[in-house]
Amino acid sequence: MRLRRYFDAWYTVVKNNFVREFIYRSNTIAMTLADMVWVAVELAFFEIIYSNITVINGWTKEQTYFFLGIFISSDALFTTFFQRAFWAFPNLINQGELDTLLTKPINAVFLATFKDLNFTQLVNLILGFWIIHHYGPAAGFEGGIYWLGVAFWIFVGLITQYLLRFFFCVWSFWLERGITISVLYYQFYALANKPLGLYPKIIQYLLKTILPFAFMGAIPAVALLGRLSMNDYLSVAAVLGGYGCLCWFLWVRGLRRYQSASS
Amino acid sequence: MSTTAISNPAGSSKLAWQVEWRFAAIRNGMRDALAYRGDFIINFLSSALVPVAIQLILWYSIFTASGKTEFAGMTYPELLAYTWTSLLFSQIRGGNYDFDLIEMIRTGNLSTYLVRPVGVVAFTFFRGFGEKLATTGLCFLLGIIAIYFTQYHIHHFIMGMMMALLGNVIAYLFSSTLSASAFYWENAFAVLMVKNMFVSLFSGELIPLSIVPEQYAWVWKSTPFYLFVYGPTQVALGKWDTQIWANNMLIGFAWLTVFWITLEASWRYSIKRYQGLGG
Repeated sequence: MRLRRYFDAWYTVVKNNFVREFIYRSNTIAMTLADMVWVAVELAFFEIIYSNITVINGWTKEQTYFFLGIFISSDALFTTFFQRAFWAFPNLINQGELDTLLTKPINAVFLATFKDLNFTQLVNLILGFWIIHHYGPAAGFEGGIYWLGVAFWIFVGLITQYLLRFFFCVWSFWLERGITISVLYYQFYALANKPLGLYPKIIQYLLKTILPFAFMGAIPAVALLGRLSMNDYLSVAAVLGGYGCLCWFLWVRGLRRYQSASS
Repeated sequence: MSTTAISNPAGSSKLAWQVEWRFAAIRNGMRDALAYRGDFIINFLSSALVPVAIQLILWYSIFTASGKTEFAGMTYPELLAYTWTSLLFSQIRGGNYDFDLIEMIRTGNLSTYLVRPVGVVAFTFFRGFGEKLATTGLCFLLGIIAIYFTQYHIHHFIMGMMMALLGNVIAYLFSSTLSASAFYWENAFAVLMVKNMFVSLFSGELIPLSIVPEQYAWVWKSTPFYLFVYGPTQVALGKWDTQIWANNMLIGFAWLTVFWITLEASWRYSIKRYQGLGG
């Protein structure tokens, strides 16, 4: 029954957002084009680099593009469901708008993070899958049943991005302008769209533990190319579990501090 | 009392008023930027250091881990010098004040600016320029300190700064022209986002443009974006002599004129659609 209530709320949100996208059609088209340009710029960056070198630290051009395909797909899913809501998240706290959500008979985190969808990014999901399909065989991806693995790792990337974004936003309870820390997320995010092999060992370790941006694309690519050990799988589960607990703890502590307007 | 004096609230001459409001807007912008000093420092550090760290790591991977001694005709020290110098200029290029214009049009807040005795585009620029001047001052200081410890010349750095500031004005005029699209679209942020993506690649902020393969080089050469970061960095590093600098400054002024005309035309035409209720 309770699950049904959540599903109904989510369905209403999807419906409303879908209607909005169709009301502002030119805007939707423009946003879709903008998202496609982002993919083009990412690809152009590596095209320029690889026009001068064949392998970077063990990563060929095809492997790097395969990684990008996974990263783009995972990011497209996150952007579709959560990105707009997370942009507004610090303001919910700093301007006291969280009050409205706290009085609803549904979890406030659920409402705050699911309330604003962006369907324009779905085209990037398709582009991401096309890139995986196109460069996968040359990169060493076996395809077939392993496409289920692609779906699984894209989902892991989605959860990772959700938790990290939440972690960067939740500090708004303690800051006057939480948007600054929220924006800081996007600076670190730039670390996520490069293959893990490019980074020195210490940064690789950081990206797999304290700031697990590698779970958005790099680790999934390594796993799908059959290079991930059992220890790495366990470490992914432990880090995501730990991040989940930390985010929940910070949210509960933050709520205690919350004083409505100008928290 | 002359009509000139009546036309401005300060009661001063027309020229004095024109100078006065611009300085006031710049001062206002600087105060705004420095009001939240913690934010200012976090913004500066994060927007400057993280992209640089990524570039440094990329060059490290290419040279140290892959064992190469040269990449696209550039040595490791040359790429490091480029990365550190471009860091300073990339902080000067553009700003987010073009997004402010779109937000004003979208929300209808533009109306409160239209009744003021100053042009809204110019006012937004000078206020945003004030914010950028705080950052420019910091970059200039860091550049001077860096030059003291290296073999680079201060006059090259100052010439680079001049080109970067010219680039900032061009960037704003171009962005403001694009922001006129908000008169037609409810939410024209997408246009500026696309522009920002192109600028980040073709300004030389992500990579030195000299490594772009020759067959694609015409792309960045046919835009003014290289004057934002790549050009100033080449000048500061002494790779472009005074003659090339002067030529590119002339090209910059030509772009400035073109965008000023397109800005005037686009706003004059588009503002007729404005209803004060949003774009």
